[in-house]
Amino acid sequence: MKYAYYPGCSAHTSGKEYDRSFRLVAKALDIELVDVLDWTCCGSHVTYVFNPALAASLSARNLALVEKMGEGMEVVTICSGCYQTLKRSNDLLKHDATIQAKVKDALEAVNLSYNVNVKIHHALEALTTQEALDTISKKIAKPLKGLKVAPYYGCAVVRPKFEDSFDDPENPQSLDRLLKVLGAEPLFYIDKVRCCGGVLIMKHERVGLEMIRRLLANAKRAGAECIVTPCPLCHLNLDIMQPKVERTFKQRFNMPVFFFTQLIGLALGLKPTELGLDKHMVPTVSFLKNKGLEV
Amino acid sequence: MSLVTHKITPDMMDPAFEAALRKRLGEKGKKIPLCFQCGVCSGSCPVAFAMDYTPRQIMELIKLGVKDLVLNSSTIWLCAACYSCSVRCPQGIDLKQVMDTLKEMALEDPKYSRAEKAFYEKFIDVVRKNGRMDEVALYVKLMPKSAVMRNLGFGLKLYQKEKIKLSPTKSSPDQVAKIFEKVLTKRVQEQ
Repeated sequence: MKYAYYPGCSAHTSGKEYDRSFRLVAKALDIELVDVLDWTCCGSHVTYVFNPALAASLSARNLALVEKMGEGMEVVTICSGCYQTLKRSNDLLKHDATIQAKVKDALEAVNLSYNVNVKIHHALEALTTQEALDTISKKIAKPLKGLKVAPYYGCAVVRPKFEDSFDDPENPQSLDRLLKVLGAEPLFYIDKVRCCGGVLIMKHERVGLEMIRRLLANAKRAGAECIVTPCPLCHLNLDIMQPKVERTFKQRFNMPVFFFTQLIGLALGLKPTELGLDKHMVPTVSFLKNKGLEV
Repeated sequence: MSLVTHKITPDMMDPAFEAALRKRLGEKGKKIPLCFQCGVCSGSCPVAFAMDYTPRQIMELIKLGVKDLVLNSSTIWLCAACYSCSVRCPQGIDLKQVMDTLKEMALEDPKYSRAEKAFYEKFIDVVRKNGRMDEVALYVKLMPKSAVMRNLGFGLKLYQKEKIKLSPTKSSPDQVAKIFEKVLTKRVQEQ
């Protein structure tokens, strides 16, 4: 299997270990990732609010680059926000003539054109196809036995519902299935698709903190020892902001938050530091040691 | 939930408002009159607890044409764009898109400029200058100077964890700037 790889902006900052672990896991599973050169911001839903034609043009620049990489090339991203935005742009470019004309114009200014032939995948989708799950299950070296995990999908990987969405917007199962293959125990987590607040943390901090608090509290209540997510922004909120949530609400969680690629990596026998497990705010390495899962 | 109850009087109603919103929404706008106030959107909304008007109330205010209450509401800015309402609305109304379009209308009219405006402008600015987003560059841009000082320790910790960079990664900023210029000049011409 071969994909064009679009990491998304957070892969260079808050989601660095997500990018690193995804590349390692893909390699271990013989999935070839070819970097999209000179990729730029997908536009994001923030630009969509400001100006939809601008957002769609920013997406289209990247998708045009993927198209140039070869016929039938499909793109994979680790960022749920980018996944949603790129898919939304593709959708608009198929159905909205006004946007089509504006995007065509904008791309001409940078000598590019996009024929809307690129299929967009999320890393969670790429790593939970039946084929990928079979390969993972064959290569497992250290099953995550007894690890009680809250599978937290967040919003953008499952919503809105597109014609070719890979999972259900209300009760998705891909991450649950993957966790079972890894030997872990996915718990029934009532907030699995409930929003973490996203960028609200930057503009309405108190509201954002309360939304994160609820997710952590319900994970704890479900009996989770850790949370796993496929979204860099959810990870930022749940992990980086967790100490602040604890201080604000005087509630202790100490809830490790993993990227799903890190759990696959651990089960495949990769080293915690290679997977960037030392980069989290809430300690994950000592947690794994206590669970007897450290490699 | 802090429910602000306003008595709505005929002078508050702007019949052109709903039409303008529907026009911007295109095909999706045709569904606005179908709202029958069931409240599934408000029940599904993870931010409803903090809003002055719930999403269901906003839908009714739109139909009544109470433009000022809608565009001054905290609701449109607190909407986290999670699409829970959109996937559940039994009438197939894409409420998330409605909220986005209301934000767009409020951002364009200085009458409704609020503190939130800075977030969108600065976000766009970071992308225009660097070609990519840098959450930390944005966070710092949005913070008052005193808060930056207060958060230095936190910043240092993030730096040690390689979560932030001192200078943003740039990628094809010239191309991105050209795209901005092309799309935004065109918009000015249209207006």
